[in-house]
Amino acid sequence: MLFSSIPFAFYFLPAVLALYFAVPFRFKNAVLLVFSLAFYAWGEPGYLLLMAVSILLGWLFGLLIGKYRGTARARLFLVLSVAVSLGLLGWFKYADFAVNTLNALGLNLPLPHVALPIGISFYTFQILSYTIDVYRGDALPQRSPVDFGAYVSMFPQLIAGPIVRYSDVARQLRHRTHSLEKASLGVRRLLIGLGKKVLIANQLGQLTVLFRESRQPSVLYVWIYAAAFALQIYFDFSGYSDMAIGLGKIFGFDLLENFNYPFISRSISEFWRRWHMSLGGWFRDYLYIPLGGNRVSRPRWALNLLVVWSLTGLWHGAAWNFVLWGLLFALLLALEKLWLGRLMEKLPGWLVRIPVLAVLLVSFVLFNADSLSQALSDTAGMFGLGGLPLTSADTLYHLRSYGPLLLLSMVGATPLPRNAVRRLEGSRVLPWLEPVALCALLLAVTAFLVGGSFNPFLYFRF
Amino acid sequence: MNDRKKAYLRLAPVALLFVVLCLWAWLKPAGDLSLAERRPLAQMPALSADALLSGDFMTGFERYATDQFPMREPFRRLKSAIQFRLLGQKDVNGIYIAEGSAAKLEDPVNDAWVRNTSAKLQGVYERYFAQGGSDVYFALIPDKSYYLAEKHGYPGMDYGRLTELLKESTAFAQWIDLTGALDITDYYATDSHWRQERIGEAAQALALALGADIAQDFRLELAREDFSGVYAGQSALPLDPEPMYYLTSPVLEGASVFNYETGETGGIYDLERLWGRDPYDLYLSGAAALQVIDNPAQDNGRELVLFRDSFGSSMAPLLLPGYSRITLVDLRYLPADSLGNYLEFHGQDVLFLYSPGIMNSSYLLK
Repeated sequence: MLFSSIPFAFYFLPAVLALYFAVPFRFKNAVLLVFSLAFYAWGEPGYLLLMAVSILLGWLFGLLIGKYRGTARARLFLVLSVAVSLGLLGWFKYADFAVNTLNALGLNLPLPHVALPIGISFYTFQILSYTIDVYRGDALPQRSPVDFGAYVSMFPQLIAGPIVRYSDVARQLRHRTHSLEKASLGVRRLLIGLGKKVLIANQLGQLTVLFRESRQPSVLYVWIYAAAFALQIYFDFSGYSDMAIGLGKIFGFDLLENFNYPFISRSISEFWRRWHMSLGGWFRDYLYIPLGGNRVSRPRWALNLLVVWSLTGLWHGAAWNFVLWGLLFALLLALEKLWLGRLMEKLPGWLVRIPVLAVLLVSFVLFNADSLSQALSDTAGMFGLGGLPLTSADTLYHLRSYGPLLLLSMVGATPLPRNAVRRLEGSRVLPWLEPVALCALLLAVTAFLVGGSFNPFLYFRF
Repeated sequence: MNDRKKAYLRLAPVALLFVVLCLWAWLKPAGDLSLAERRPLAQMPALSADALLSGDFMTGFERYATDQFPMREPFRRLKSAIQFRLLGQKDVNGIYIAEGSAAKLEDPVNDAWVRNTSAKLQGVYERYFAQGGSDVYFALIPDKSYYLAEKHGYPGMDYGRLTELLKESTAFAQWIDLTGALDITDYYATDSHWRQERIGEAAQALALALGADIAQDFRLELAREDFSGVYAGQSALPLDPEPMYYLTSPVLEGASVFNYETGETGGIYDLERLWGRDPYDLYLSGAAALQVIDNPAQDNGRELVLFRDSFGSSMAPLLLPGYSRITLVDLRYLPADSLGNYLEFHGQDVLFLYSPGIMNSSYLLK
């Protein structure tokens, strides 16, 4: 089920809110679990069992690891837990990719045709973080299957993150507060997220579709497409995170932030500290640091970087353009660390941000390609290597048509709107202006949902 | 104001609005039809174990909930207004407004598609008309964008290129130029079609080329005051409904229209269709694969075979006085190969009358 859909907003959400607030605290996690399973089953009825089995195994392994903590058995159960979780993820997400790759190398294996279960990358990483944290002693095993199930399957963040670590919400599962203040802030955040997704990301998405359909591509059009897609994925994914955080607040949870204005970054490493922070943190804490991080020899560090970033790429999608995308970041981060970092720190902000943004746009073109060949041809097109004209009538028309939206979304991707609102916070106007703005936002979002077409969240495919 | 009061003020109005919309959505009876979008609205899907397991129920419910949402039309108009006015988009769903008239963005000319469609028409000519001594004509109906796009900065079709291609690939037919006989006011503001009461000059241009005398005394009848065309429905842009007229005369009132698909015979105008999904179906009862109009008022024995799209329905009555019979063929619905099963070919005049959307498409004609 999509957050940005009429069934979710006007049928599912009121039902879960009504029941959740009607029952005593001890039943609230059960209500969340049941509705979360229903939420998942709505979109993936065939894969509900897979998620239920993953949750059950994660819970059992957590108990066993906790029981034998400090012994070889705990290690064995951790290895089993990781193997099962990654095995399921590997089969359901990467089987076709692996067979295709082997076939490209000359084999002739039949494709298994495995469909990707929605959200598997997210809930698998959450289960992994739990069993690893229990093994490390950073978290106590969860005795209640209901609480554990509610943690893994919690619908606000189930299918597109943020990746919530068990240690961050363990206490909140048993003790959390509900208040008018929290609920009001949650509703505000939810509506802002919906607005980002429905009013901005989906419209930018139309521009990227128009680019693909255009019979008059040009160099300028590829750059516009790159900017539109980068902004689309930012507003789409950060909008989803806003909705997850907002819904979490309504249900009493304080989920961690996932985005912090990534496009104002002065370097690629800063970008990754601001973009999809829960994923970056996961790879840092559960892979990069255990591999030795940067406290190893230079060749080993380079290897660590390659492993982490090729896996980060693969996490986003089972295709070689994602691997290429990940490796590009490994290269850029290495360049920054070894040579460019100090120079970039000395240069004025605007002078650094322009090339950083240009590199990010190229990376998003790679990211959004349907195939490696499309990735390469789009990238070549950006630099005038594909025989494209500099501009075309179609390009200029769509630049005029989507120019205001592009400009609005560029400004919206910076802290400027937030700062403007903060300046109003002490005034008498804001408390009266805010409800009007929220009602207008609800009506506008509803209008786009009623009149719109199917627009799944981009991060669903991960 | 303390934090609790602020929170209450922030939450209460939006929560109230939300609850009202929810209750309205749950309690509102389901509608059958969206007249603006010219389609039936989705209904509540049947609930069964199979439908749940396959996901069909969920898909159906999503359509139902979206289609049946209260105030659907005002919400659609609000969406278009935000896109058009607030976000400054030049078009909504590919439809734009210029000079008070809505038009659709056209695809650029695709040489291969135009040649392919022309080749289909040439096939029809060679198979059925080449041997019979027919006079064959081709006329292109300019789209509204021909008059609006370039003037107002919208990407449009290169009509020079399209004309050049068509003249070259339909050399079997004599070319009739209609561009000078029409202007933007000859089309409905809310629809793609031309207004029958405004295409007299275009009809004369066709008749002149065909050598037909089509003079008749028309009576202008108001069909309905509030015609809202397909562009208004698709885009939900702020376009006022407009009056729809039709031209009639004793000749037209005496004519009969036979529809080969239904086997029914009717009149030129089907007033009941005015209140259906597409009021433009008033003319010859709308889309039909094969129709014959017989004109008892004309005994010159001349016949016209008109290969047409929907524009032809309102044009054919104006050409009728010059012919004893007009046969209308819509190759979108009738494969050219089967034409010989229904018609005899004996030197009739032949007119291919098409809009650019048909000619610049690789797949529309069968």
